[in-house]
Amino acid sequence: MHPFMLSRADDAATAIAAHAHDAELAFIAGGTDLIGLMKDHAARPEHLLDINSLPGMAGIEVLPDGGLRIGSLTRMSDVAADTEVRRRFPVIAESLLFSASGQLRNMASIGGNVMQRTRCAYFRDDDDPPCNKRRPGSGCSALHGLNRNHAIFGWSDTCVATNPSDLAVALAALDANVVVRGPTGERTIPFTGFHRLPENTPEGDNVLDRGDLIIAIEVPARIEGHASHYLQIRDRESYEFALVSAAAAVAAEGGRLRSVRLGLGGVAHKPWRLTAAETALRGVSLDDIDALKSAIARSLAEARPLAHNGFKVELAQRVALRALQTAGERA
Amino acid sequence: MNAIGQPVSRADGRLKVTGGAHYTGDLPLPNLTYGAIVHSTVANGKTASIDTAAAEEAPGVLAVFTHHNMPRMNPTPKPWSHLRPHGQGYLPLQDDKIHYAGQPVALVVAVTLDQAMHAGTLVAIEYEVERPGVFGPQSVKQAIDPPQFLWPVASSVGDADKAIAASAVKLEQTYTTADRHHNQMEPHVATAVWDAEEGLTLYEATQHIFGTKELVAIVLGLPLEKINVVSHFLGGGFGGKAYVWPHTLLAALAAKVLNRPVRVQLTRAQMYSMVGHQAATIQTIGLGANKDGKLTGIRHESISPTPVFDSYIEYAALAARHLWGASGGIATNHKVVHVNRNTPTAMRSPHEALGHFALECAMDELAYATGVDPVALRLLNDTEADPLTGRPFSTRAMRKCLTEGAARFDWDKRTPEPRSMRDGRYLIGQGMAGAIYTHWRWPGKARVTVSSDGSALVEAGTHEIGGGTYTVMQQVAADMLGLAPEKVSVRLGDTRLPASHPSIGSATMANAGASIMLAAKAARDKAIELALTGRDALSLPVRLRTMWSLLMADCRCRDIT
Amino acid sequence: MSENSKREFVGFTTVSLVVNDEARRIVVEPRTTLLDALRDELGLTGTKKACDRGECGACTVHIDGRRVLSCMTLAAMHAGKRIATIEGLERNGVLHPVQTAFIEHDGFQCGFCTSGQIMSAVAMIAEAKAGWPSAATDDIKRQFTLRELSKTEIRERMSGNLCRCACYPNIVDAIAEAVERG
Repeated sequence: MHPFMLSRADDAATAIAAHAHDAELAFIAGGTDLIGLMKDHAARPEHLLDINSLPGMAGIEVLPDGGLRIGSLTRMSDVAADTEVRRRFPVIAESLLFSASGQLRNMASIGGNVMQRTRCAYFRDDDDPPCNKRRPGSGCSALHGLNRNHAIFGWSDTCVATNPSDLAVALAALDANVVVRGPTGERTIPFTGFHRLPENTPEGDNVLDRGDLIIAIEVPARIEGHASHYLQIRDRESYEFALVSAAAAVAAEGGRLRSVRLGLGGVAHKPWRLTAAETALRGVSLDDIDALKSAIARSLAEARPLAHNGFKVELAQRVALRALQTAGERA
Repeated sequence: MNAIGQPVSRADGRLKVTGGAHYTGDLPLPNLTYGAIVHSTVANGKTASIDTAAAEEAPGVLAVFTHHNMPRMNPTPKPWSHLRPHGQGYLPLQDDKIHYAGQPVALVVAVTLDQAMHAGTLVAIEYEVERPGVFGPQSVKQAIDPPQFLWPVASSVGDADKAIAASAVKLEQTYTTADRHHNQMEPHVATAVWDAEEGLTLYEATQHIFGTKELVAIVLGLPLEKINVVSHFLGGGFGGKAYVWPHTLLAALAAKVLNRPVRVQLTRAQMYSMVGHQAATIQTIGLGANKDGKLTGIRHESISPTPVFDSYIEYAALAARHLWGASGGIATNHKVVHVNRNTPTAMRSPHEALGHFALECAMDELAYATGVDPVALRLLNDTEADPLTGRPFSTRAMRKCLTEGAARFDWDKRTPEPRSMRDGRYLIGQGMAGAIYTHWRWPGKARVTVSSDGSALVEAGTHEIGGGTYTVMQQVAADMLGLAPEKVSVRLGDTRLPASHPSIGSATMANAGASIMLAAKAARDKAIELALTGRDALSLPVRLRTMWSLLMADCRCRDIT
Repeated sequence: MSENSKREFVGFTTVSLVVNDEARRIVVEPRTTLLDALRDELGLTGTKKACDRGECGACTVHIDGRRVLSCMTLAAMHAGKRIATIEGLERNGVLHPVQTAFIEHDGFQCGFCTSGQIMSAVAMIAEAKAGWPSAATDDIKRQFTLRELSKTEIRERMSGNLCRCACYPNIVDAIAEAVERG
């Protein structure tokens, strides 16, 4: 890697100020994405600020309403193993267990997980092929290149990459919130608004500014929370990013859906909520496969597949259906 | 009790589970420096300029080599030979041409690896780019006849085309295989150390220490007695570490210029371009048969890519030369397409293994076309004689494999219609294929020393690539000598030891093992003679003990010789 | 001011950590990975560099008892922590039960992945004992117990460790036996 300075912050205010003032400074928590990016020269911060000692940012708290507050420095494996997470929001635990490997889950923080950058092979290619995310203005190699793993929704001619985080799909489906502290104070960002679409500036993955530090993720109590499921389909049985994944959370009565939360991963620059499908699914019986399918299809009508990923449209239909059915069994 | 046939634990087991086995990149050496290779990012053209100023001034950097200042290498010898196998004929850092993406264009040597790798990113290269040639469906039209590489390029017995044309059942299919990369867990690595007296010691992750020694001696212009190659433990070979690749030559010359040990270890990404891989193939199979499934003709053609500077053939169509009989004729042929890639190499399993895939898929299709059961079809077309030469096979267990396999896998319960078998919510598919593999014979030497304390030492220039060589050689020698295995030590992986053959082609046990067996037998016979003829150096108790255990060995050994 | 409490540094600096129960001091740059520090500074070459990208598990060590990938973390960030490598697993010449099981079940061929496999397995068993579920667990809402650590569970939990010699069946058998022996 290139030479850089390493320092450690003891309090959030200092960390935030340092990040706000120095554009060449990056926070490092688990480092499992950042160090890979640095080795591939896709990130070259001159100064790494170790935030692992910041107080009050690790741990899981049950909120008064029955939801959860997950400190951003909590490790993926600790969140996945937590009994409150598993009981109240199994989709979160499952999304984490389907991610990465045992070793990586022990190292990686929740905050880092939602910040992780795309796995697009052109973006991560040390040979620096055209990539607007890596080098704005240089072009998008995947648009007319090998794009099997790329987006079917929300892409633009500047970038067709997908967001790789499984956890993000679950959090988007549950309408979680990101608690962020910046130079001007603390604010809450709805998770569905945290990640961006590429539009004309694909170099930005999310809406954070310089100086912003993720403090926690809050998941409010949801009636659909405990009847939730994450399903990931990928080329290998384990330790692989999703081709298409789905997070489903349902509330049902007498086998009939009352409300549905449904999101897809592996299909866009951000987790993709199937809002049209969610509306159409209300009142549908979990036994009525045809009705379930046609409701899901409403959200897939706007899919725009690329040359090599047309299979994702049908796969998304099936993954969403299966996740919905499994979540329904837990209702 | 014999050691052979016992489920013994590996002799190197304790070392491997405690981190005590030293692989090439683990060896501590005083004054060690690290080399990082800079590679081309274009596939065809040349480097118009290489600016190394910033790299040379980076902290810790001792030297930056490019084609401007890398010492000259002698051309690789022709024809290609397993005895001195170059991985590719195009030598690194000798000119400004670019023939493939990922080609070495500079080597940075520094005190630490981080310093070398970072300085590598400071080397500024301008390219003149030309359109590269690539392998794909269009290659069928571009393919040319190559000169012979390892075996005859084409073969023909009878008249396959005529036989197929006249057949009741005809089938023609095209099968493709993709590039495959060995991706051994251990990346390729070479550490070169020069000494004024001894010359070059090359610690190399190789499965062919003697071939490496011979080839490096030629390319660097060294007398053979001034180079030794060491490889005690290999972290995976699979054929990919049997030939000599650019990093080895670069490490050796850099170490010579700097007069310090230089280690060059490839990054995982560099494993895809700086060492060989298994080439893709486009194979066409034509089959002709009677309605009962008896083959009348086989045509097997294979096209594979080769670099612009080498003529490597992936001999897939070898399969049809030996696998099944055909009454009217068998014709095989290989063609190549020159593309801007690095040179392919043998990858477990190479050549005919790729061809088996295509030929056996075609046979499966023939089973459906004729309605003949796939096992019955193979039994019908099995042959006691080699179809190519007409000579009888010395051993061919195909019939036995097919019959025994069918019995063990309940083949008679299989229904051939697709989707006809289920297990709960799972659809079950069951198929079969036959395969044969060539048995290799190589010359090799070994030395066995028996000591008066009742221990023995086995020495052979063979390799431990995971197949259990340390263990097996111990078992063979122990049984031959009548000693407990714990009394037998094994040394291998050093060209100062008796010359053995490469550890390729699943040949180590049969060949190095045979030389060890013969050496152990000779040592045993000599020890018995010494005991019986009463040399002064041996006291009576020792002589009696030795004689007793060696006579016991003689009895046991009759079981295995 | 002790070397570990240095707030920031750029060039080489000394960092103290505990490696295999011994206090050690290493001289590293900020960019030095824990893997390179263990191998090059401390000569503990049992831990291997196979991919250097966190994709293969050959570099697995324990930090404060947890399995991690040493190639994907910086040595200097672990000042004062307890690091365990494969070399430290045996005690007074007695192999750890997982090491013994690997020998008895022939859980390796070339051996290059073996250090990482064993370190990963030892910590994985501790995770299972602590009741952690995995992606292979049927009902993650229930508490997980060690006797549910089936071969399917082992395979899933060990999926971060690759073996190109394909010893997976023997590796799983070795781990299953080590679990059974307690």
